[in-house]
Amino acid sequence: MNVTFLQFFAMLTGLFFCYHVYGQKKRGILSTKEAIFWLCIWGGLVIVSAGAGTVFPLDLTLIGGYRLGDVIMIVSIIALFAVSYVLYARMAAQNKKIKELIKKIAFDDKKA
Amino acid sequence: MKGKKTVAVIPAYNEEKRLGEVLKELKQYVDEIVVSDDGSSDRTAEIARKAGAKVISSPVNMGVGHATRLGCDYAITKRMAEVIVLIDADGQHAPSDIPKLLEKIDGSCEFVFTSRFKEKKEMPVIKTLGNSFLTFSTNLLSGISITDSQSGFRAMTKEAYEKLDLRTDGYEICSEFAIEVGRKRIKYREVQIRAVYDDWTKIKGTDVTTGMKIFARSLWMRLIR
Repeated sequence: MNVTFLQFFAMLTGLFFCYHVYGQKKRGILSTKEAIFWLCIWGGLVIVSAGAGTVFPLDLTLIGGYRLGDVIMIVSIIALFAVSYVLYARMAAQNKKIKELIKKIAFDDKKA
Repeated sequence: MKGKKTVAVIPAYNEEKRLGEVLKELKQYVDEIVVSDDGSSDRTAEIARKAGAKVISSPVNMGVGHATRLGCDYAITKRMAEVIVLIDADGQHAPSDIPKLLEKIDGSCEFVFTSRFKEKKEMPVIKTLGNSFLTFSTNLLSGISITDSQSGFRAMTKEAYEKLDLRTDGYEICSEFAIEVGRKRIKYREVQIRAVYDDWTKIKGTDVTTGMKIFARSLWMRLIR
């Protein structure tokens, strides 16, 4: 099976974020179902990228007349998924910290 | 539920208008009262303290769901509550209904929902429709069967509360309670209560936008979490 640079890049990105999801789950930031949801997203990217030549309707071959518009579109989609996921995970982590802080302040209030 | 310490938890945000009256009546039905002040900018906390309630104050407004969790956590960890009664601060619920809720809590029931179903005719039409839709969808998502998923008046044992995995911060906590009760297979019952609808209580609570958010978040929490 010939793997193009773009396929390789997409698979690498997918695998990296699968590992990131695993880390977030281990630290208790994501729940099991949230982790499974994001693993499906990133795992899906890996699978689709690996079989791009056969199951993906666009021509991802970088050698031999690839279409620039397709490449930009696919890279953009990958980037959007990455950004939205990173923001989601970061927001969840920040939310957790804020709530712990508020709880501490409220419970330690001597006026209670 | 005799012999078990019962603590009422009231999430409150800018409720200086009605809170005093609610607390005055509430005292005779519970052992202690915890007011979870959700970053109010009025005299809510001051009024609650003067009425003899324990007050925990969030430095910022986080939402009724967050205030509810904060109050319940405080009641259990700091006030040694064995039974928690949640009641609204706006006077919509009658504290005299509390004995009805508490008598249901025994070995065969750990959680009591309440229903304002009989008084639904007094609700504005749009709220009646919204409430019916949210109750229908909550029943579908939770697998339990209740007639008013959005009532904020409920009672539960400490053990039941500790089983629940509550995370939402806004009004969707009402549906989250039902979904978690269904998910954790907690034994529950539902009792009919009286609800007071006047100009003040009618403008409080959920509107159409909030109703749609509750539905979307309930769906999310059931599918993803």
